[in-house]
Parts: sequence; structure tokens; C-alpha cells
Amino acid sequence: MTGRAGTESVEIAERVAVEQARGGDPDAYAVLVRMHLAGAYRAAMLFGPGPDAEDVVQTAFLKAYQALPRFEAGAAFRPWLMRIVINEAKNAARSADRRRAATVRLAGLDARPRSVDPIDSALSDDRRGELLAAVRTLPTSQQRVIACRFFLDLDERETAAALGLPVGTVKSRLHRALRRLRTRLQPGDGGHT
Amino acid sequence: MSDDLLTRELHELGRTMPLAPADTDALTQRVLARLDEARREPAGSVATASPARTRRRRSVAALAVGVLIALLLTPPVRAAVADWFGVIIQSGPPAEEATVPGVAPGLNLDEARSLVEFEPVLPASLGRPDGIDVSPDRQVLSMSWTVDGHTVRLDQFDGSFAPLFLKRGEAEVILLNGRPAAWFNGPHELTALNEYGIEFGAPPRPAGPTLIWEHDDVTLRLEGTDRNRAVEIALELLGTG
Repeated sequence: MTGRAGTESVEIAERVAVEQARGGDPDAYAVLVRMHLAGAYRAAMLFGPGPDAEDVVQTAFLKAYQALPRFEAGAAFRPWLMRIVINEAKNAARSADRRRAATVRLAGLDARPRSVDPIDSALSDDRRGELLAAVRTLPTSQQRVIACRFFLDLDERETAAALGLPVGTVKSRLHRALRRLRTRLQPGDGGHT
Repeated sequence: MSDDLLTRELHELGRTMPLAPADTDALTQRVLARLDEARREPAGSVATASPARTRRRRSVAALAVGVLIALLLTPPVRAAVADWFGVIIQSGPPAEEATVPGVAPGLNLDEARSLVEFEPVLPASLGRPDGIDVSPDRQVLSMSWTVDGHTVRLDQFDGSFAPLFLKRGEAEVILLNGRPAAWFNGPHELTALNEYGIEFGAPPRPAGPTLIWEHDDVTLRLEGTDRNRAVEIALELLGTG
């Protein structure tokens, strides 16, 4: 799991902060920024050109603030914010890669996986490299769903909201992506039993 | 390998990807400073948050969370995610006169395809298009033909339309292979909105009779034919024509 704030009290605090921020309270919005900065940065790294991630995050939080009056009270804030971050990141990727748009893809997947102390991870460096290489071979639309579902830790509904797709589309893309990955990958020896 | 093992491995992969900011606190301060700046002067110079302001903000933020948890008895408003995700195509009051704008020759299909992130379709029965183009935001691919002196135009949007719009407009719902499509018989004002209610693609314009349907996560919009021909073309593109 990726640092997802999941407890009920946090969710309630978030909902209230959203309500107050919608009412124009900048301090309540600062609460939301702190809650979601790490997740927004991950999304910016995954969906945009890495070096611009900080800019993407700043712009996305600004746009989200400006769009708050149109945010529906009671809706889930995180996927809504993710949608704004992802769109911003995609725009940044497009301008960085203007003439090679056919290859617009998840730039974050090009980052070399950090070497991890075997004690900290159930996956070996080799296995992580294999998994990442297999994910990179998926069509971009499937990579996006995989990225939201597993690397941003969104559930299917949230993934649908973050990508602006119907839930059924997310389910079918996820299913196809996993099936493809399964046929492409030998079972890992990554410490799972 | 089982999905379960694979999904655990993917979660684990995500957990160990190097995707954290170098300095979270510093980035948070920059985000907040930029918001402050935008609030005070829309096009001003970059202001940095003073330590006093930061301390104040932290304490107020903590207070906000504390006080607001106490309000948890307020029943949450049901999330209506479907109301804000997806492309909404909204039909407004009838427009007076609609002319179907042709697409200027510029790109060939391969070039246009390389600019968008979906696989565009081409109805073979209409022949070679007069022009193909992609909107500056690369969300809409358009092509047009001249048929018996009239322009026929096909726009392909990256995204799905929310069923919501069917209730708002003067649309007739048609089933194409069991999936809903919308037929706008009369002239109407058509605007494509994204989830923030911001227009995208082309500016709004009066549109004539139009069929809208979905195919492989792409929304297609065909303008300039009568209803029967539109349905024929849609079925052709759906692979059952």
C-alpha cells in the first residue's frame, strides 16, 4: 500500500475540509494539500514527464482549488483531484513530447526502479524489472488503469473517476491487462508463498 | 500465475517505485505559496510563505481537522461520481441555422492517429475524407466528406459521454446493437464539456441533425446525414453494417 489515508476519521476530516475549502477557507484547503501531496506527486511522476512533476503538482492543486465550487458536495475528493493531476501531467507530457505524441505513455514507467534492500521488499530487483518491462508492453490505455489501480492504489471506482472512464471500462481493461501480463510473465519467486 | 499473486506483485512494485518528492515539506510550502499568490494577485510575482504564516497555517489546519471531526454526525451527501466524470455533451436551446463545418485538408489518417490516444475509425462507405484534423488539445479527431454537395462530418472524442446529457437535450435515444445512441433531429447548440465544466475541443456552435454513440471508449459524433444514413454508418463502424 502506498501511504493511503484510509481510516474513517481521516475520511471524515477530509470531507469536512473539502466542505470548508469549498466555502472559501484557504486553511481548510491547506489541509487537503497536505493530505494528498504525496499521492498527487506520484500521479504526476507516473503520468507526466518526471522533471516537471513539481510544476504539475503545483498547477493541479491551483486548478483544483479554482474548480472546487464545481466539485460536488459529498463526492470523493481523492479521485477528483487525481483526475486533475493526471490531466495536467498528460498535458505536460504532450508539450514535452509534442511531435512524438504517438508514444505518449506513462513516462513514470521509464524511471529505473530504485534498488531496494531485499529486507524492505518481497520482490527482487530482477523481478521488479521484469514486471515493469511487462507493464510497459501494454497498450497505454491499459497501462493507465494498471498505474491507477496498483501504483496509485485507487480502487476500480476511483480509477474510473480518475481516468474519466465508466467503471465497466476500467474493469474490462484491468481484466485484459492482467491476462496479458499473466501470459507474459513467468510466475515470480518473489518471496510469496 | 494467479491474478492474486500478480496483483500483490504489482502493488509491491508500485510501493517501491521511486515516486516520492525529494522534499515533501518544501513542495507543500511551494504549493501553498502559489495558492496564496494566486488568491492575492492573479498574475503577480512568486511570494514565499513566511515562517510565521506557515506556523499559523499549521495550527489552523490542525484545528480545522479537530473541530471538523466533531461534525461527523452530519450525514454524508451521497457521492454521485457519475455526475462529474466523463465527457458531458449538453444540448442547449435550438440554434437558428446550422451549417456543418468541413474539415480542412491537413493531416493524413496516420498523422492524425499519432496525435490522439485512441484508435480512430474511418467509415469505408464514405470514401476518402476531404480533410482530417485534430483539435489543439488533442481530444477530438475530426474528418469530413462532401456527399451530394453537403458536408458530412465525423468527430471522435477520447472519452465517454455521461448518460446525463440524454435527459437534458432534445435527443431521441436509439439502440445500436443494444447500446444507447442519441439522435438530435433538429438544430441544437452543442458544447463538449470536461469534468470541470470547461469546454474542450472546438468552441460551441449550432449543430444540425447529429447522431452520437460510443465505440471502444471513444465517443463518435456524426453530423450532416439523415437519421437512417447516420444509423447505417454507425452500424458499419460498429462492425455490423
